[in-house]
Amino acid sequence: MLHYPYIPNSNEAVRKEMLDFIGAESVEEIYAFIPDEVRMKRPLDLPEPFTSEMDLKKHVDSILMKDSTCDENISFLGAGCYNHYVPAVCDEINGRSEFLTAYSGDTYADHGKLQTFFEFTSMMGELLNMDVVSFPTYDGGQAASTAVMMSHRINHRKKVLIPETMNPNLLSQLECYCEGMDLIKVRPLENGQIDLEDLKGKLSDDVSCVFIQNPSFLGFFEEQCKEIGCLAHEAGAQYIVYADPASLGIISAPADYGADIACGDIQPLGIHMSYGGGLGGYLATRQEEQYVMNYPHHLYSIFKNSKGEFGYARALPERTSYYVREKAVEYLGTCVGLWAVTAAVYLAVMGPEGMKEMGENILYKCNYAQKKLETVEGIRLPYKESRGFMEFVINVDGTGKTVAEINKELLKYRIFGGYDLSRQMPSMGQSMLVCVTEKTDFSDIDTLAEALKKILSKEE
Amino acid sequence: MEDRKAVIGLVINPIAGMGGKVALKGTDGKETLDKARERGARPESLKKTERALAKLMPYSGQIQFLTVSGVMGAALCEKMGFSYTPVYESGKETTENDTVAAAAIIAEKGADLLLFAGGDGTARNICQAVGERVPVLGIPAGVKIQSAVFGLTPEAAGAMAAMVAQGLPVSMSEREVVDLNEDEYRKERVSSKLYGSLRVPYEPSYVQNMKQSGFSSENDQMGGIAAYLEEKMEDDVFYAIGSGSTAKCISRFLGIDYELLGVDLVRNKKLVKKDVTEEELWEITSGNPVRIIVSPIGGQGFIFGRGNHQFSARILKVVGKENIQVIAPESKLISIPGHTLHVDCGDECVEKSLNGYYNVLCGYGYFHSFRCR
Amino acid sequence: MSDPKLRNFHEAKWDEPVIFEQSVPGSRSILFPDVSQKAMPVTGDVSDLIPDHLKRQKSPALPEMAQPQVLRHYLRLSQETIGQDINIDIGLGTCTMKYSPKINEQFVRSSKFTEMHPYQDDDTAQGILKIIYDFEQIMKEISGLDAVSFQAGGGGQGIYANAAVLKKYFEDKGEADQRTQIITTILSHPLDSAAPATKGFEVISLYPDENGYPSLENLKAVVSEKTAGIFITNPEDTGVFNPIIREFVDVVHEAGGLCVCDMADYNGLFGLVRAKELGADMCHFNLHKAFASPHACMGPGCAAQCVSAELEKYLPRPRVRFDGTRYYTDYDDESSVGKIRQFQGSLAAVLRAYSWVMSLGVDGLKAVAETAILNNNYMMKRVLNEVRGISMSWAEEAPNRLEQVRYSFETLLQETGVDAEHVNRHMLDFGFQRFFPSHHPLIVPEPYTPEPTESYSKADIDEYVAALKKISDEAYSTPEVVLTAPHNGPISALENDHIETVDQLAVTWRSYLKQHGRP
Repeated sequence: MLHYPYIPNSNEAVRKEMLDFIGAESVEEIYAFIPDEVRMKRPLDLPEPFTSEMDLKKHVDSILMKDSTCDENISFLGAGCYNHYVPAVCDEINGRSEFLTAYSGDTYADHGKLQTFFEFTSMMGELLNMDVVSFPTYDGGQAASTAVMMSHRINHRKKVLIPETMNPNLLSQLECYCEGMDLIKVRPLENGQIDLEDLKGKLSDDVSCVFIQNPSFLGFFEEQCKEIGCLAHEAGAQYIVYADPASLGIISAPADYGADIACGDIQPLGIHMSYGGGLGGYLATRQEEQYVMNYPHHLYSIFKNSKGEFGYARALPERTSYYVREKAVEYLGTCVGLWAVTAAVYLAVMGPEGMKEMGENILYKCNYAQKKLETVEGIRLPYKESRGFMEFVINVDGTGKTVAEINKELLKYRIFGGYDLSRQMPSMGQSMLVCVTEKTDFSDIDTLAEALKKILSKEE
Repeated sequence: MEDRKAVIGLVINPIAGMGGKVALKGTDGKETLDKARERGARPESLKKTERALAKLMPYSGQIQFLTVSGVMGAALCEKMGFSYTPVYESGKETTENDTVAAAAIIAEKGADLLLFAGGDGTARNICQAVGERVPVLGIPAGVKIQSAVFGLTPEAAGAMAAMVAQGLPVSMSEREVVDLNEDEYRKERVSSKLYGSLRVPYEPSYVQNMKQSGFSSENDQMGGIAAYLEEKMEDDVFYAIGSGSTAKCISRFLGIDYELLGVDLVRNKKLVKKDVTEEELWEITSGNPVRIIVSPIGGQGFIFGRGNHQFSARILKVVGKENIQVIAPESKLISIPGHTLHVDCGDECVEKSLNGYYNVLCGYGYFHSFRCR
Repeated sequence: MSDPKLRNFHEAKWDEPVIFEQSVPGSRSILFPDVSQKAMPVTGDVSDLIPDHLKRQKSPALPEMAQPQVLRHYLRLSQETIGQDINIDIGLGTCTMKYSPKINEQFVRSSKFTEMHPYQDDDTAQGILKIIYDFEQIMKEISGLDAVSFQAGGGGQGIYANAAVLKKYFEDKGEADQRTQIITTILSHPLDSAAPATKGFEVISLYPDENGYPSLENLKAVVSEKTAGIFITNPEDTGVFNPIIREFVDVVHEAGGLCVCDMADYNGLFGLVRAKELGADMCHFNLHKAFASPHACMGPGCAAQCVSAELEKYLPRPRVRFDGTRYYTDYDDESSVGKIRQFQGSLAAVLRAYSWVMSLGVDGLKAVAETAILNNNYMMKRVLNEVRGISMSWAEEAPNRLEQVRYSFETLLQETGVDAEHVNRHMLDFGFQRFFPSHHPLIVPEPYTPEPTESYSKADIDEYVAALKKISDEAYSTPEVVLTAPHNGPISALENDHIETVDQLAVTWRSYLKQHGRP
């Protein structure tokens, strides 16, 4: 038998000793109970392996070298995955073997992991002004889906009012996940803001919840968020707000304007984009039984023992599928624990001032970008009447070019243009969603504006 | 710390468990007891109670016991240094009458929990005395431990009591008390009866059968079962609802009156007749569509022939297997040995026709497939 | 056989205060540049950029600390966590705790991967797209099925995604209203019933018979025109392989249902058994288990969702395709179930799994399976022969097992009053992570489910068994030592660690303070 560095018992002498102890001639003899009819009759057909680590590294690196990253270009991509700065301490901690390779250990052996989880939910609670925050789920869309189903379980109603401007990926997730729910779109006004008259017309006593994103998918603040909440509550509906945690150093928390359930994505909190793999969903509510007992996720509660030591344990586990299988609130499996660890470190590093400074950086740069791009001939900012946070829409219908064409040309300037909205939101014409984060330099924005000017002034 | 002490009733059946080690089925009845003593049996229950109460030692300052003089409680409390009030004086040779009388007085005075040590026979006495008036928990010390009202071990029962003593919230479950007819049992004929229910505190790892399920939302499950049954109920069909608190979840859900230990007839979601006899049931079954809703007895798995003799062989034959809906919360199901249901209706042919697999409803649209033999 | 010396282990105990208690107002851990000078001439003052009523009135009460203090705090907490890397992690069965090669961490931590945005032009993402595409080809061969999606972020989501595809398939056939029931087994993972239930299916669970798996007769009794499919794990958590699986699949197929295999317990089957040969229409593998991506404190993981050609069109979008020269993302989603994740899932797990398979090849994968089986059966023989108070269900019917075993400490409890949870807590005192008892419901009483994967040496297993023996001996001689464990952990026992009402719950520090005031 060959030696496999990851398999310590790939050693003939040791295997012989173990087989002798078992009383078997070979390993095949042990699994003789697998019937012939389900066995594979030939060896797997896989590529030749790189058995030395050195060759393996060369091979994988050579593939990754084909990628051209947001670090190597100027990126204005957002739309659900954001190029924020990741403090070095975040990577230092989430790369620790202890955290990286831990799994479901609990109160005793993994005390530190549980304290970290507790600190994640606690700091999120401060950011969101809510007392209950769950262990994070797969991504913001999953959190939003559960928020909707949570409201259904509370009031047994079936209609969900969502903004027409909502993130189409989120919408697709809701459509797939929210069994038996009726998703109804509420129209926006010219400026993008939700049309309150349309909302009122659609609200009735069979509406389970009103869902908004704030900032909206298209970047602007839903400025009437308080009124929307009041209207939802008057109809007896739950009010769900999908909020970007990166904005909460400077923007009111959803709870402050009436949200019953807050949800969103924690990827902005110190987690690399990794081609979309860095997402994680948060879900938060007030501490009321109707909400708490409707979380499908782990809830880690703090306890004090008689020696005065704090410890942490999974609380009220009878909600979860680990305990009651199909009778559970939805289902629960392995989600994104390491991102909870990372977000905890991030929030501790940032502190209130860091969150505020980052928020202000983004606000300044994003508004700067809007002013700059506005001056480019042919570009229109359809929602400029509404103030925004980190993203904004530019429409290029007046240029005779598609966003796809423009983005292809921008690539020559080593610029990743904004997200092309025309695929998922064709009614908006040729529009792109431009994202500016604290990592974006003023010079990057100037470069984009200059490049656009050149591209759009070219003869057809 | 709260000023008020937790009040815990304690009734020990000092002779419980003596039959087991000398191969007798229980010690109910004086003759058997004498036989047990002849065979060299020694009281087990005091030792087991002591093991349970040891779990309460750290909270002794917070507990006031209400108990019986001498071996039925006071002596042990004295020995272990617990604060106690004797509320009943037993005779020298304690009998089940002492158990009944003492438990009744404790219930009267009010207790946060009544702990008793014994087996199914003792549980039956306690049930007779207090019903569902106070929470009750058994320390398993008898030979027959079939009722789901006991902690898995004496320590587990003690730990549960310790939670009550600390004023921690605990969930309550209605649990059936069953007991074998010992005379019949000694003649190798199994015959047990449902005697009623006790209100039992439980928590994931501490009460015998709940051990298996590990969760406290049994009420939710019963709600789910009832809602599903209600949704699927067909017009003009007679539903014969079996005995026991589980089966009656549908009656509670529909808001109709029921006889816990009897069979009720329901049609169009309204009560037709409470506590019907076999004769009455037979009359209706002839010529009318009838469905039966039953729940197995916890810990045993009998769906017919234990506490519901109204479902006689001739009735079961007419109704047929396909019209029998078995229901049970998962915890109760898991407690059934061998995951097998049983029918005992006195007619082998009918019993055979009822064998096979049942989709036991244990939540809203959720079934566990159980065989019946 | 002489036992190795047991460790006198002590886990770090830092007694580390909750981070809020370490806050010193005014401290900073990171700074951002002041950009107001540059921006203001263009944008005006920041206070005008937010609507007044949306301005945060009160700063979030996050801790204020300097950077060394934050780092130190979380390093201490990391030391109070026992990852697979640092212990002989045999205990966590069904989790396949195996070595996650460090070289793979270099790949996923490279900026060539971390700084990729999912909406980049495909031309700038040929590397990651190639990884996704090539690994799909590998997983097609390993499963024997025809198409693979990596969107699902864990086993649960993988099963959910399969349930979603199943439902969509019957919707297309116009049978969704009729086929409302899923069949699973009580010893399959709870998610095999919970995830289909979330998708709106009724669930029927089958129980093992005397052989340790459900009988064919039982399956036939529950299959009907309502059957949408069966979700089944094989081997189940007991390590018992259901040898009549083919007949199971045939019965379900004959009834018009589909067969979905949960390959969470796959580690003993590489190169031996595939979903195809089992007759499955769908399956999922956990890349964070058998494929060596680290478990990462419970994720991010990845489930490779594999389906037959007939079902490919229902897979979540986008798919990655190759036109012979270029890899590209295909968003065409007419028949797709839509999105399970917002983008393409946890690709770090895909990248690691790709690298892991490429380091082992065909023979290596088979060596993984055979070593996992060898290790498990070696350990089983030692445990059953040498550890008092432990037993195994279906020991006669299934004397050999695949990659794991569900044991029972019932005898130990009856004879000593020490239960499985007590034993579990005491493992820590010898340097071992807690073990996995069982999924619910507990069909096997006082359960214990270890899984000695291929990553452990014979000496590792011997040390682990020695600890079990020691604990068992203590249970019989000095039970109080076991009953009061752990002794050398970061905290001593918590009273009532599972009892609380919604009012007593404190999952945030602010909630704790509201209930108890400042400590």
